[in-house]
Amino acid sequence: MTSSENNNPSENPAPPLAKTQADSEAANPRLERLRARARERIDQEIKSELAALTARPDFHQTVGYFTNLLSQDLSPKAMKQRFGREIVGLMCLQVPLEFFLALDLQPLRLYGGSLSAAKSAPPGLPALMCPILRSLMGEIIKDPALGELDWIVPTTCDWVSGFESLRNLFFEAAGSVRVVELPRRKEYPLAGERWLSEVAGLWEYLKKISKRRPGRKELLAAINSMEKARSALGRLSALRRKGQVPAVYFFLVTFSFFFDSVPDWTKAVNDLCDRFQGQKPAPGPGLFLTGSPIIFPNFKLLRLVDELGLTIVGDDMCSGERLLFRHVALKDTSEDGILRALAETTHDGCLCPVYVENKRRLGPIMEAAREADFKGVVFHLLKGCHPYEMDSLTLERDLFENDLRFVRLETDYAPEDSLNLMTRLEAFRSTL
Amino acid sequence: MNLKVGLDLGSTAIKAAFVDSLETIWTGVEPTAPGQETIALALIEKGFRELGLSKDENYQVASTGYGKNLYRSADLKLDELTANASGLFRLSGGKAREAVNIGGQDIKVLKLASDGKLVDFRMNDKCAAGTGRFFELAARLLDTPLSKFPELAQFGGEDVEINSTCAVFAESEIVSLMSRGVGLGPIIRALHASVAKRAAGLLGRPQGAVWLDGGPAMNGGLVEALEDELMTEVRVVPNPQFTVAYGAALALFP
Repeated sequence: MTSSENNNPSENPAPPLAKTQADSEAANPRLERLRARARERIDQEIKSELAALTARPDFHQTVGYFTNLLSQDLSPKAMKQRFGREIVGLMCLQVPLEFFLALDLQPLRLYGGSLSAAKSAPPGLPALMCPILRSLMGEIIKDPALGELDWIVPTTCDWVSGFESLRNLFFEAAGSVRVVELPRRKEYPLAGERWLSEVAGLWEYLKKISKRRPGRKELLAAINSMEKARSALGRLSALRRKGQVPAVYFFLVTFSFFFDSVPDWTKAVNDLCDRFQGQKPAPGPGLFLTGSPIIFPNFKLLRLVDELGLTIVGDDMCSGERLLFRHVALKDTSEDGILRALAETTHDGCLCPVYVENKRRLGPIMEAAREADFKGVVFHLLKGCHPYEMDSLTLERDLFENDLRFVRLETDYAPEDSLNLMTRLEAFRSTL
Repeated sequence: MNLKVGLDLGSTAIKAAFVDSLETIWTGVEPTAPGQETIALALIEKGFRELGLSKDENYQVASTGYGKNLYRSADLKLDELTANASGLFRLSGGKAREAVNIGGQDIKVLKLASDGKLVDFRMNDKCAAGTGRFFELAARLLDTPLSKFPELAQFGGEDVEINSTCAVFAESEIVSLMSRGVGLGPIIRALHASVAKRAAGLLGRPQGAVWLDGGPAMNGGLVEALEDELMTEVRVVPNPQFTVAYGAALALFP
């Protein structure tokens, strides 16, 4: 049976598609064709989205810095050459980004936003699979080196937790996977300690990968650098609250974080803030965006919002504002104290709906509502994203009780439902 | 005469409502096909002809529906949920608070404030379940015109169910029922129940009477099924297919 005939991987798994980049392409002309097609389509999709961004009347060279970043070869091999350091795959943001800086490693966020990549994913995956991870599968088809990186996988949702098994079903010669177990009951007395021990274990693991032995000095320098990045993004978020930053640019900025050095990215964000500082606020009604992450190049919803003259004034997505959400509260500067502060920052600041108790989802939205005076919340729900689907029900009720209008837009990466989404957004605007 | 024309360019039909002094004086419908603007213009011309009005008559057009932007010369373009709320509120004598609209390719649930404004809504996602398309598909499969559905639903026979909410899977369920020799009556009743279940799922627990509009609202069997599912009274305004077009025309009145 060929892999294309296989519809149920659990009953009849397809043979792994790739061993290593070199030998699989030499031995398997079909795979070579598949890879070439995936590469061509994904690259074209990225080029189109970047072209749409650069064609905007408000495009400026300060934004061009970020579009240029994403126009480069973003493969792990090219990034390694560019940065001169090892690349480590990172799925979900619960781990301290400071570790990578302190160890001179480059984190690469493992999430896919490309429709072409999702279409290039191996056949036989579950039909209603998380589009982000389906797209990631397609990215591995395009570039097997991605699957050969060492990966860090916090056990957030079930798709993420089970992704390693799925990946190994289709790809051979994968790099190591470090699972970081997330205590899902934050209020449980031992949760913080359990998370601290996971974070400390990860620190040791990354030290081994980097073959470096840094201590508190390097960690403090990394915190200092990340705090500057947080402040820069916080500045940009504050401008967005006033309707001065289009959402497509905001998400372009957050997505590009993983493709530059932190100081260079921080400087570029500050330059962008200087540019937007005097900008006239957008006239349309303000909206807050929440739900499943929006990942470049899938800016479908953001573009529709723009077309309708609506303005996103804030979001709580891990691909948006929540990328660098919370400052590190450092009370003790010993190495143990620093690890504890980093663990607390990542654990307490995380708003992912995978946690059992999720009332904290409401707080940041209400805080943003006080800052920006918006009336409506758009919930972006990717098909197959079960935690956010459940979360949307309780959040809708909580927002209603706080006089905020709510619309849930369930979608995927395909453009065919644009009219349907547009209709709902228009109707939603009329309810505000 | 203060003539306003509401055009609802939907996925399966283009509907026009001529409104004077807030009252509908003419309605017309044509199936949707490529060249929607030409079809809509011809429909308006037909209205003028049948009403015996001169082409020089001063009038305004509001377009709504998926194809609203295709009618380029519209004086006003508005989304169909807002138009629906407005039209239904007036046609219900200001009584409608919760409504279900079944369109060609979507199903919508609306909640209206006491002044008729749309306050909340739900729509199906990329899925034909419970929509007019679902009925059309079933009609083709059963080789029976949709207009016969209400009558045929009255015929007896064993009660059967269509459990799939997916139109494609529902199709195979219908084929399976037909191959078992189940009659048209029970299959059509099961179809009505399936669509009613889908609508009820979107609406949740109603607070009072629910209003049904859109083309399928003319199907009494569906109305009955929806009442059974919601356990509340389901009301239908006259000419429910034109509620949205009428609401679009209303938006042109000051």
